[in-house]
Amino acid sequence: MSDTSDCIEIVVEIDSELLPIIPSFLESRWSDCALIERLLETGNHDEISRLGHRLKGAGGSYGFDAITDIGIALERAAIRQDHEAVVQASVMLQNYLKRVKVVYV
Amino acid sequence: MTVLTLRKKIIAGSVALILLMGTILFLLISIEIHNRLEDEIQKRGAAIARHLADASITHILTENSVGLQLLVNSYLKNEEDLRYIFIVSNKKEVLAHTLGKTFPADLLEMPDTVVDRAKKRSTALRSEEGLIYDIPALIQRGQLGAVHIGISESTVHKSQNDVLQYLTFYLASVLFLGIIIAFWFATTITRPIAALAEGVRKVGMGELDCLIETNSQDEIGQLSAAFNAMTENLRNEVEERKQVAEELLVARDTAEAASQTKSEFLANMSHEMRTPLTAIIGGAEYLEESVLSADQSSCLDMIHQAGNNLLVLTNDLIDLARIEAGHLELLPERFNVADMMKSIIRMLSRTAQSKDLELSLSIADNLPEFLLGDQLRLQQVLVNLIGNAIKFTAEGSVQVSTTVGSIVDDVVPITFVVRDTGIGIEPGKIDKIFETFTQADTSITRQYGGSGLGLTISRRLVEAMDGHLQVESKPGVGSSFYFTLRLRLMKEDGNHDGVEKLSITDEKVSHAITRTGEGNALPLVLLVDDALENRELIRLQLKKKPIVLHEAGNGREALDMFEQNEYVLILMDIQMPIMDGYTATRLMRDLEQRTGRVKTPIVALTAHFGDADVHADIEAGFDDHIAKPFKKEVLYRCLERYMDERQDV
Repeated sequence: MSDTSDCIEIVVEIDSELLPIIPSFLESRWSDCALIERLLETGNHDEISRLGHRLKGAGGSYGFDAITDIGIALERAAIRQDHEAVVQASVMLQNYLKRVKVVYV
Repeated sequence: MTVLTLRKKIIAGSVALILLMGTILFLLISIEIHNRLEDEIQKRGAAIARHLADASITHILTENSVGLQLLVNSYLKNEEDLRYIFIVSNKKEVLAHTLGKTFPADLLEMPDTVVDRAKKRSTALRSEEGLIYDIPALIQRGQLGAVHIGISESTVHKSQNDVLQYLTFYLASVLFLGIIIAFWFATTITRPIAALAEGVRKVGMGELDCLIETNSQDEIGQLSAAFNAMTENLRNEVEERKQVAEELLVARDTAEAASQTKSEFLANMSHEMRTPLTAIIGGAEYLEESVLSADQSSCLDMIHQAGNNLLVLTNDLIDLARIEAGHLELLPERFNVADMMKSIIRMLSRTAQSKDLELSLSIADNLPEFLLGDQLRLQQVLVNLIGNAIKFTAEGSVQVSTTVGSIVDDVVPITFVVRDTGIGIEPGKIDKIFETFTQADTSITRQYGGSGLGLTISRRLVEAMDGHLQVESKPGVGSSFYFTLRLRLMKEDGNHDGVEKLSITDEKVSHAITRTGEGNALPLVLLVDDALENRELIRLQLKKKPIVLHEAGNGREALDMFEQNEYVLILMDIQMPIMDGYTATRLMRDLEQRTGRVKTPIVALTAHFGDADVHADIEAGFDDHIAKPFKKEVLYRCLERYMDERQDV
């Protein structure tokens, strides 16, 4: 990813009543990125698939539809044991987390 | 009965003919030989008699009776086939003879000349050894008397037998040769016929690569060649047809694959389509709470309405795609028809209320309590029909009723009727309303909205349940949609007391369910999810709802809490460590059955979207299914629905 793309913000509007849980939710996603890397090293695709499944269910429910999309891609890639696609999904998640800007409404 | 082959028939016929001809020939030859030998013996006898007559002249003239007797004896001795000789004078006095001491007087009666001159046959005498021909010869033209010799026919027979014995050998050889030729002839004729018959049999059995080998140019050869040509044509035609069939199969597979792909695409797209729609609808809902100008509010309503319409259309399209792809699977389960219908009426009552319509439900008094059927699909049809009735009715009422026919072999025919006082349908347009994307009038789409798929889906669903959706309508008066399903009666059935009339217009929704142990009157809801962030989210979303939320991190914990508390609703994740949602739900259902507890609604929370997943959820004992990610409103509606149901119980 270029620096330019990193600078582009993705604004996501989130219900203000979710304010108490959003920061920890996003922080957990950074942990997920690290976890994916560790799981890739051990080739544990089953766990990556479960992680993708969780992201798919949780992302949109929190208001982060893109995380649901990335979760779907991650789950499918892990089921196919497609190493490259898993890495790609992980990179997508990291980029999204870098660029996402939450606006509480 | 034994069936003779053509070859055997030809052989049998030829052999019979040869034997007949041989026999006739043998008889004719025998007769001819006999006649010729008889003539020969008579000629020989005549020659002997004449010779003896000449030899006896001197003895007679000299009256040398001794010499005459010696002459007679010597002749008899020298000629084996002579039986007797006697010489008589012209006065019929016996001068010499070989007949012993007593001369048979009747021999003197024998004529001295041949009787049958034409045939030169002599008189025959019968004796023990057969016929004896008496052959006379005159001596000196009869002046000195006559000589008679008796010659036996046995000589003829002996000679004849000798000749026939010789002839029989050759005749038998010829017959044998003839029979061999008959065999060869039969084989030569029948072999190509047999080959032809075998070829026809094989072709009849489908062996079209069978060719008859023949070199002959006769009729059978021509027939074989014609048969080979016919088989060749047939084989070519079959090959062509096979090729066409294979092409059709490939085309079918391609079409099915395309349809499958389309269906899978639509199913996969469901999330992608629903998510932005949810965002649009959610955004509109959020903005509705803001202070807006009249124009802005109108614009927002339009966005909200359009979003909802698009969501309905999306859901309908996915449903239809699944039905057309043959993915519709009925899932019969034991359910309470009356409860299901009340639930539907409750669901739609607010819409009816908003249009000031009376929505009523009549349940037949003899409707059994529990039946076996696909509750979800039946519910889908009824919601669609009642929803349509409300949509197309400006004023008046929508009446929903059931009637029950005679129960035979535990099968209950139930007729569901949805009657409205709406705009009705023109007679010429009634058939069109069940067609895909068709409403009776395009202006209706503009006025009332809708995808035009609802009735198509309903009709397909009713047909899948072995029913037939029908409609009667009068423009300006109203419409009646009805169908009859034959559902199997389940045990623990009971009858309702009289016709139940449920008026919805003044129904009040209340969530008051008392519970002990918590020190308050709020209902308990159990949330089961291993992901803390999911629990936190739902906890926040339900924060303002009049409930007490219990949380469990896995199925085992949930089961323990379920044993100790009574919940109005359980929201259950599927994939969890220690014990998953399926197992926990099954164990909860077992517990309810064992202890006679009231069935607690359990709703699956899962990020799986397919029909198979929904069916698996229902099979595991879930009552409903919420797909993740979900809108807050979906959660609210679910909560409201099951709290209402618990209130009824």
